[in-house]
Amino acid sequence: MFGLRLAQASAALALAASAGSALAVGLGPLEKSGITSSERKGLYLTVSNPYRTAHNFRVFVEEDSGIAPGRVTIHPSTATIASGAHRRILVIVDGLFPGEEVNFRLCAERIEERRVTVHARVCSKLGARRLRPAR
Amino acid sequence: MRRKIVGLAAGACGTALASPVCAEPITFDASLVVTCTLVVTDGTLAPNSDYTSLSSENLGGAAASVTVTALGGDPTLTFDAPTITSTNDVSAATAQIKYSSLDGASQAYTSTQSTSTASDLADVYTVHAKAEDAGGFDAGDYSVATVVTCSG
Repeated sequence: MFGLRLAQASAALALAASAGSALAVGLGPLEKSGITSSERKGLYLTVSNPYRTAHNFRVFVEEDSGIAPGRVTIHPSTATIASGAHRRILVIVDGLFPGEEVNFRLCAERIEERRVTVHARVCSKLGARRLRPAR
Repeated sequence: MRRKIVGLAAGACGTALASPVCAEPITFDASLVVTCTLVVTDGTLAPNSDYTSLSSENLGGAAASVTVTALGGDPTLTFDAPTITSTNDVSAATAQIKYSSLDGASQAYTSTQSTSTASDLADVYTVHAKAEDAGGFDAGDYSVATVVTCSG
């Protein structure tokens, strides 16, 4: 994040500049996949907050990453996580038809209360495959 | 039945004459998954003498830092194309970032998306940003932003 308030033109180098602050997010595993015999598959991920205070985080399906976001349910999709704590996230892929395999990216990031210069985001590659019925 | 056999075996193992060598396996299990944690510290922009450049490398500016901690693999860091926002018109300004890491990653100033592979358990990226406008920047608030994504 880089911020600047440009003051009077005559005071070019005497500027009020925003002080740096830390932003953080952790997510794992970065790759996970599973097989199911039903139309649903659940996968667990863990979001962590390495920040020094509690913060709100959101988990979401990355756009155009291989699946319609409406087919994925995330429990919870937003969470307040204490400093240094972890939160397990359940991701459910729905509507799998026999033999279908879907791969997509799920990302976690802090919900920013202000505009930041470098916005941190961690993304996992997830996959789910439904078995074909036995003949 | 099974329990009785185990009991006999344990008895034999405890008798020196019957079994001089008694070995039991000790197993340590681990399930290693790839995780990534990013800690970002913001930077600061400062103007040059004629207000045509706002940069973290100008006097009074400061670089941002991104600390990457990756377990179980070498994740990829993606820096999105930087954007500049302001209360003023910045349509003529171009924003760029550059970065380098302790492990040797290096990217010259660019206005487009770039990627880097974190090759160690932990790495620290120093990120600089700048925006340039030949016509000069008016008084106001300016912000150059990028999104850094860690992915497997």
